Amino acid sequence: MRNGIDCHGFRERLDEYRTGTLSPASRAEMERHADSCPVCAMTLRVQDHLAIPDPDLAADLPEEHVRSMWPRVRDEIARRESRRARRHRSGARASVWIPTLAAAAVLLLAGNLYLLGELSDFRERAHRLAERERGLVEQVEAHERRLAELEASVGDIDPRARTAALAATTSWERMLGRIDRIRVGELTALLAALPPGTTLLRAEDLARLEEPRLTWPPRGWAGAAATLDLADGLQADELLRWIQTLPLDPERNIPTNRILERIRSLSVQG
Amino acid sequence: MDEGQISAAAAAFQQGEEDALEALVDSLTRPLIAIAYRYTRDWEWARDLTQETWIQVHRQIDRYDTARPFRPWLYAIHRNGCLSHLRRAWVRHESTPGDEVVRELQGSTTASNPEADLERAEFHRRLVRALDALGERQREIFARVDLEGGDQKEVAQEMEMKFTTLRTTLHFARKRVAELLLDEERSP
Repeated sequence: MRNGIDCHGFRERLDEYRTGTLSPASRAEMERHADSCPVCAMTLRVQDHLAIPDPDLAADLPEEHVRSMWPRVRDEIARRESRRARRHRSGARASVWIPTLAAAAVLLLAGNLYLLGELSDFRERAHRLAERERGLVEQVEAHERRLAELEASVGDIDPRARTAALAATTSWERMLGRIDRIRVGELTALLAALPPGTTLLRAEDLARLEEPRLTWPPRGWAGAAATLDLADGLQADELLRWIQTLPLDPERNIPTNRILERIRSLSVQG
Repeated sequence: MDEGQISAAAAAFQQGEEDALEALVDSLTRPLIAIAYRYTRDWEWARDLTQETWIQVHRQIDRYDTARPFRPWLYAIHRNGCLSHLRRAWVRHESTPGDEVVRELQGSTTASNPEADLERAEFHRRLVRALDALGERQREIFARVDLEGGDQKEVAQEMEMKFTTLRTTLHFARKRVAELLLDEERSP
């Protein structure tokens, strides 16, 4: 948070700023925030630039442009239709012999193309199967490596909590790793299905988050810190409660690869 | 003409009454030029883009659903035309609204602050170019609300989306446009 309001609060007041209905104190607060936030300062600059009063616009509009519009439109339509008619006439002469030549060429090619098509279909199917098999092997190897890393990092904790953490973390990482994007509604269902108290990020991992590169959530984890109880790290049920307070469309897609990359990089560093 | 008369004229034109098109042009050219001016900041370009919109209406009138109001359909064609036309001009390195305004201001003896006007023209060109990098929905909402001055509740209704969703999308669009403009200023 910078100088009284944060970027979210700044954007919430922007419409009132545009219409001039903000109190002088709130306006000053926004301008103070813009002094220290380049993105919000640029947002303000864009809004100031776009604020052309409608009465001024109406007064400056050249009347001649309005009066002359119908004759211009009428003449342009007539010109284009005339051009289309000329093109159609020249096309009609070619319309007798072109189809004949085209039919002959198609018949000659059809036989060869049929045989080539059959062969390439078979090769395509074989290639797809091989790709899928390679993908599955890579997935299994990645999960085995991940399990080994988790095993090494967990240390001496309660075996039941360890099992729950391993199973939960691996399963939701596995699910997110299978897809490129996930709907907000699906992610909240996933979080709701995790055992209570499942830790997504440890407290020491959160402390290292300075400039989050995640594209979602919009404010990043640092913004969530203001409203979440993070003393014991980020818990799945805490995150779920926070997501449910946001005005997010459940159908909105978010990329999963960056979420995974970020969490894995932090876990490996730990 | 009120909205009902406008939609009735559009339906009549769809049935082949050419006079109805003239009535629509006479009634709606003024707001279309004003919208195009917000994109281009140049009256000549605004006139030309508006003319092109009417040509497109003439070509595509069969696609207009007469059960719905005509104005939003018309404005969608106009908005897309304004954005895509400006994009093509830049790609071909032809004259842009900013260049024409610059030439006009350089020759003008009446501009009170020509340097500030040049800077505004250049900023406007960069702003419209930044819109190109937005997603389709963000671009449309930013254009309709911030560029064209549309009312957010009306725009949400016309786009058949929740008001809160429109506000959230608009916030992200504004932030993204600001980030793009900043990146451009910072890059060498």
